[in-house]
Amino acid sequence: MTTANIQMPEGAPEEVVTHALVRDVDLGAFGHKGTLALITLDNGLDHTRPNTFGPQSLMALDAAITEALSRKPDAIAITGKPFIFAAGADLSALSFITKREQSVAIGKLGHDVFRRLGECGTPTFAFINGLALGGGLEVGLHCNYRTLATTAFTGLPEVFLGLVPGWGGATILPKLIGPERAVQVIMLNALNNNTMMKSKDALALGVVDAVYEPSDFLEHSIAFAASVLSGAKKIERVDYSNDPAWESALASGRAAALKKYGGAEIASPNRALELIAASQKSTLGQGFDAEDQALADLTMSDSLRASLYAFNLIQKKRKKVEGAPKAALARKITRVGVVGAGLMASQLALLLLRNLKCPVVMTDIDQERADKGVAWVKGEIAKLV
Amino acid sequence: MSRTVVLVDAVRTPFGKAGSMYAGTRADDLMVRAIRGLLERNPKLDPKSIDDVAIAAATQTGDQGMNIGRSVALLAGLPNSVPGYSIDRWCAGALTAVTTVSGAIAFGAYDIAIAGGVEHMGNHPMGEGMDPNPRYLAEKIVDQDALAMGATAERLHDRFPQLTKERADRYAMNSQLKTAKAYADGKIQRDLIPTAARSAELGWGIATVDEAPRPTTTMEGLAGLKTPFRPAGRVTPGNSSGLNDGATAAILADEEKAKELGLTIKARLVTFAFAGVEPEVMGYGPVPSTIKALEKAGLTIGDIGAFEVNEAFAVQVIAFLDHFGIADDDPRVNPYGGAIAVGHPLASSGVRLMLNLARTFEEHPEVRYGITTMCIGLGMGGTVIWENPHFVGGSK
Ligand SMILES: CC(C)(COP(=O)(O)OP(=O)(O)OC[C@H]1O[C@@H](n2cnc3c(N)ncnc32)[C@H](O)[C@@H]1OP(=O)(O)O)[C@@H](O)C(=O)NCCC(=O)NCCS
Repeated sequence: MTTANIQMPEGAPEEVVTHALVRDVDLGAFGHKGTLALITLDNGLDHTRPNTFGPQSLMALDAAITEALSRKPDAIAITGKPFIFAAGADLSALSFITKREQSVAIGKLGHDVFRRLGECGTPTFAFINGLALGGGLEVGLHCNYRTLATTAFTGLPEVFLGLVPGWGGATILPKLIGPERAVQVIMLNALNNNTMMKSKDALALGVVDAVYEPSDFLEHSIAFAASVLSGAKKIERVDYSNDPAWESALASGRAAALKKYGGAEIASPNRALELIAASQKSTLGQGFDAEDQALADLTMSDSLRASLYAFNLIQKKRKKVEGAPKAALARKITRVGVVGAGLMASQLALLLLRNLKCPVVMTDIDQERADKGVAWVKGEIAKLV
Repeated sequence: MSRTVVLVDAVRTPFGKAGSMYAGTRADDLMVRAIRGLLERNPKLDPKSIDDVAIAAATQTGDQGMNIGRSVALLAGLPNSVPGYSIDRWCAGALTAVTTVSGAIAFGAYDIAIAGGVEHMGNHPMGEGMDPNPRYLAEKIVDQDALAMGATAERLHDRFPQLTKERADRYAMNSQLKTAKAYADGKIQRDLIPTAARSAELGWGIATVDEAPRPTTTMEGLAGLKTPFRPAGRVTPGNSSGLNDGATAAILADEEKAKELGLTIKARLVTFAFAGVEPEVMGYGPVPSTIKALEKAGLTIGDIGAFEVNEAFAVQVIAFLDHFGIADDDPRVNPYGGAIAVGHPLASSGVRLMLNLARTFEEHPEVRYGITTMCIGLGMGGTVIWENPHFVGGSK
């Protein structure tokens, strides 16, 4: 049981709490005598507001793990609400943090709760039924085994945001899948415009142990757990501590960061690389402590605040433009005119045609130019079929 | 019949009490789960080769609408080339889905089809959206009782005074005890597809067994129950089927095709019949439909070694047994219990009878013929006669 008394920083919006519900599953029907305690993460809202982890959510998960263990199950599994596993730390509070201790405390709380899944002595499974990003994926990494829905996207976007995977990801992932693949996920994907993994990528990289289709994902995941518990299925883990690729992997991560930022030394990729490098020799506990420090340093920096501000603008405000009139007020567009038929006008006409699906009229100073513009648009459309 | 139709396999989801374990689960998702579980059990069947998907539901709106046959084919991930359609004959929906695709197979139009049914009586209470034509009552086409199934069961008690409440209760108790025994012996679980069911309050869970059975049912307990369909009546919640959620699915095929593909053959279709009776005593329907089917097959009731009779109401089953001179506790009848114990999600139940019969066939190679039969609202019965593919020797 973890104890913490973490106040949300002043001015931060109220936490949307992700509840953690515990239910028993009888494994008998899946060929294994015993029970599995299934934890569902659910903030009670639909998929447009994903599960996230702020302090109260972490405490809720902590209580659920305690409850699950008290039932003495043969295994514990954790899954999400429809379409969503968890989207990670509650970023909305992060930019309001003013004291370093606050940041250290949040990082440590996440570790203290999540690591129970890896250290409780009962086999643990993550059934990643939907989107799992950052801390959402890290919860799964603390578990002993992972299944993933074929339609679910996963990733560790922290380095893209100016952070590090600081709830275990930077330490566990290299140990689990080796330095090259960990650099791919933590560094290269994140730096490549926050590329998320498709399920087949996550499986190929070893981030998850099995993938199943979404329609009966939970049933197959439980069957997977039962076969692991009964010994029918063996999941082999590799010890990467003497892998020859550590140096080259770290070098490729460093090169990618320098390239991305035009040779500038940026804190977050550097700290992430340090954590990955340290994971070769360090214990999990040492790694988690180092993550707490890195996270706190980065959280207090101006560059992170700027980055979160920018992220908020492009991710949230792009979808819900502030002050925009209601869509219901818009007049129905049945025809559009474009004055000009040059390249830019033609591109515009094409865009309007494809988005509004109504007739578009192009004009120009003579027929020849107008015909040319129309012909170009028709040509582009023809390429699609 | 030009070609022989066989039952390749059949499965079902565990049945829930209406609005309970599947309260947060959609009907189409239950149906999809049954189909996917069925196909997973039959890996030799290439989904591309399915000629049609016929799915029954008694109420075809909302999550049981949108042409549920086609809709669940798409949701189950069957190839776009596999078509689907919807069937309705109230309680005999899945049974009619089976006979309808069987007709198409026998005719040679199809080689392989999926037939099944679903009813989420929590999402779609009986009679939802029903708008009976005023002529029914104004012109006395039916009596008011004909529109309430429990009342038709009371009318059966009236019509046949020898069918006492005590007999109905005893039949109901035995159904519960037979189901309890079948569960203890692991016989029902074999054909249940574990089904994920989410509850917003409790999180995700998995249904692996039926929710409705009451294994501790006693005659004293049953005697004290209220009679919701008539003051001082005889039909009670204890000797009726309940209100349930569930789905069933079966694979039917041309026998030659099934052999060619190496599919299992669990039962061979002999023939089937539907017949009507006065709507006020709809529970009597299985009597004329069985007589008709036996005639068509050139068999007599004595040739039938296994019976799966749907238990909408205990009185309706014993009316059937009485007619054919079969004892209420005859071991050939519903050996695993029936709808009184496991529940009756209306349009899904027909295939449940078939999967039970198929298991009886496996266990009793000395039995040659069996029937699945059920009563149907507005005064009908449906009967399908099956031959045991495992039958060895003997005269019957
Ligand atoms: C009969 C019917 C109205 C009962 O509905 P219900 O009242 O919701 O049923 P319940 O399961 O709550 O049972 C009512 C009571 O009987 C009791 N009961 C039911 N079966 C029992 C049994 N086998 N032993 C002891 N008690 C039993 C219940 O415990 C409950 O008691 P309570 O009121 O003290 O809680 C409903 O099941 C029905 O309409 N069935 C027929 C369905 C039908 O027509 N199908 C179509 C056929 S064509």
